[in-house]
Amino acid sequence: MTARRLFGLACLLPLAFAAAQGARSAAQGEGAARAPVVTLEGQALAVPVTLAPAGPLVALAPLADALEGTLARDAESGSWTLTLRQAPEKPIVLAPGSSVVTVGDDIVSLSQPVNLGDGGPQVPVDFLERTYGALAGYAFEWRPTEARLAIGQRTARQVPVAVDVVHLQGTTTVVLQFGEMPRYRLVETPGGVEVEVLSDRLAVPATPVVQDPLVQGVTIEPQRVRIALVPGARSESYVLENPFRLVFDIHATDLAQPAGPAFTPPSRPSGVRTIVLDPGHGGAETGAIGPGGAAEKDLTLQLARALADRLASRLGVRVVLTRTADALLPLENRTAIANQNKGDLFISIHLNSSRGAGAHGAETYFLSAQATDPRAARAAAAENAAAAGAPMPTEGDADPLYDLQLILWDLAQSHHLAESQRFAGLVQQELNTALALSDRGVKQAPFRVLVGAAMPAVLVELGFLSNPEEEKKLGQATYRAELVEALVRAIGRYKESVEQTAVPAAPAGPAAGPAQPAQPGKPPGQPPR
Amino acid sequence: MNRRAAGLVLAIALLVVAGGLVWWWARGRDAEIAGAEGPPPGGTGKRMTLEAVLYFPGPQGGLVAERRRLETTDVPAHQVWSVVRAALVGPQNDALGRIFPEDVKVGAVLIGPEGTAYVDLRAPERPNPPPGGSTAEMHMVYGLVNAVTESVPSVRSVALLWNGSQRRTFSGHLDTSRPLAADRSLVAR
Repeated sequence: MTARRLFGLACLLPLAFAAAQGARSAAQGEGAARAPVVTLEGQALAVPVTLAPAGPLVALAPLADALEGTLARDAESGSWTLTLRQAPEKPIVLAPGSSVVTVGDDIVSLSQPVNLGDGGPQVPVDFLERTYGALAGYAFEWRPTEARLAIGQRTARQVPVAVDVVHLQGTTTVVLQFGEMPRYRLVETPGGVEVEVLSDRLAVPATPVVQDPLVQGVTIEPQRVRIALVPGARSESYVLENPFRLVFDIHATDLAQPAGPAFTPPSRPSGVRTIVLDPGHGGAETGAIGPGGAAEKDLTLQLARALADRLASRLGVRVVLTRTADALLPLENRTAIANQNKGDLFISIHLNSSRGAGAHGAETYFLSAQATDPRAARAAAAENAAAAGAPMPTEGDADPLYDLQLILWDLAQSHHLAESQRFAGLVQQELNTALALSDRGVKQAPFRVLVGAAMPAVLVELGFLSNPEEEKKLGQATYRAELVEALVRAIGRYKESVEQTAVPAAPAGPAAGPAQPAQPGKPPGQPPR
Repeated sequence: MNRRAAGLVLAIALLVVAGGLVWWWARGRDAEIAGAEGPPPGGTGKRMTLEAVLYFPGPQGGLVAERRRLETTDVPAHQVWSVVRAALVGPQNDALGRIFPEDVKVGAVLIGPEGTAYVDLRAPERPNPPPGGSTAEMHMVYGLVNAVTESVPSVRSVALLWNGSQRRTFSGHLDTSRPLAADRSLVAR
């Protein structure tokens, strides 16, 4: 009897285990009983699907064949590049094992990593939605009960479009601004370039009147935009986001000489009238915390307030603080405040920290040249427009002045960088001589708060909070007053130099334009390393 | 059936069940590790030793190089993953500091054909990167950027992500919304 019971138990244990496995599979795998399939408009495709715990993984190579894409492996990096026929300008880069992919310039995180199967990469459904869905107009639906990935074409949308044409210094810029990103492709034609709209339809506006030395005309139809160029002109295109825009820079070649007069940037009188002070961090973003508990956000606000008072009384300038309370303020807003107030100088005040407690001294930063940013340019142009009383361009606007300002802003950047370096040198000199601080020098870095400032801009680190000795000194009002006086002297020297070398003011152009360059001087102080 | 035979069958059955449970547990464990730290990028590669240069903050504020030999493969994404993981583990020299807190792990790595490495840093308990001053932030960011670009020849720039998302800035100073090239000026002389 006991032997029979043992035998029965022995038989039941594997059955119980198998049942547990079955229950687990049922809980995880939807439709595990049947082989998953992929259909395109109801027709089955020979595309293998693997059911992974985090969701289905679809073999990309056969799907790309069916949906007009090309998949190529880069042997050096081990990554794969998917190019969609509908959007060849946005290559998609993926790699087995990585849940991060790039779509053009965008970085996309997926729900699960790309897998490497026998036939190449296998991708989750959200990959398909972010690529074929967003760029080629396909809709994807995973139906777990049917174990089926249903693919269809989205219905056509009516997409508004507006056209701007600006000519500046030999280059014409044509901006096509869309209400939402259409599915499109670019086609070079003998007479110019066409934007062919795929599956969507354009809401055709009134035909724009174009009088330009390089562009003969722009024609908009429901399925395409034609840009006709003069013989010999060539175009280069790029994309701007938020709102979505296709931008064509059209250059003259030897065969196509622009007939129009060169456009000169507008200017405004030189001088330092408005200074924008930015107390670093604030609110939940504390910045550095010293070993004694001092918070960077509090000390920077105290320093900025004291500096504002001294600047107003000593130099008679208008001073704007980006924040006057302990509040969280995004970095972009700080620059925006400076631009909207038409600041002539932007100073972001910070205190430093390092994991090495021995680090000490002050340092002054200006922006790395490679950190200039077209997105920041757009923001700065918009902020300047708002400051001038013009309506702030927003998504959906089509303001010719907006794009003109972008170009002007860009032209001003090299000058702003030179002036920023010069001013940073003065700040560092004054801090070194007045306080006998360790000279950590003038440096360059891609600091976000300096990106987009339409004026000379620096970020000054007035000491290391992580250094107990410097933290103690920074807590003393007399020491902070010495720091403030050093900054006042540096700003005074800069103001004087700008106003002595200022060129006569040109007739006023659009008020949103950048400051007229003064004569760039040789930067004093230590050059950036 | 006698008692000995029944006992034998029971023993075999118990072995099968125990083996199955071990296999089941191991599978779950693998998934757990992958979720926490992320596995090295997939694909096969030839095993090799990489001569890597890592950077850690020195006592006087500059980044100090530390040379390492890392076991990895000839796949660049594997190499980047190995370099970042070693950098996150910390320095061997006690005089140097860590670049990130201990709970920060390396997740996914992607290398584009243009030579940009996208590195996802994972710290589920930290919704935001650690706060700090600009020098501390530059040590965090360039500690990885310099190490990766110097150790993996095919990588020219590095874009850092935090918990799967690209951040405009990590600690309120550096613009991390774009790939960054190495900055040798931060290396202590």
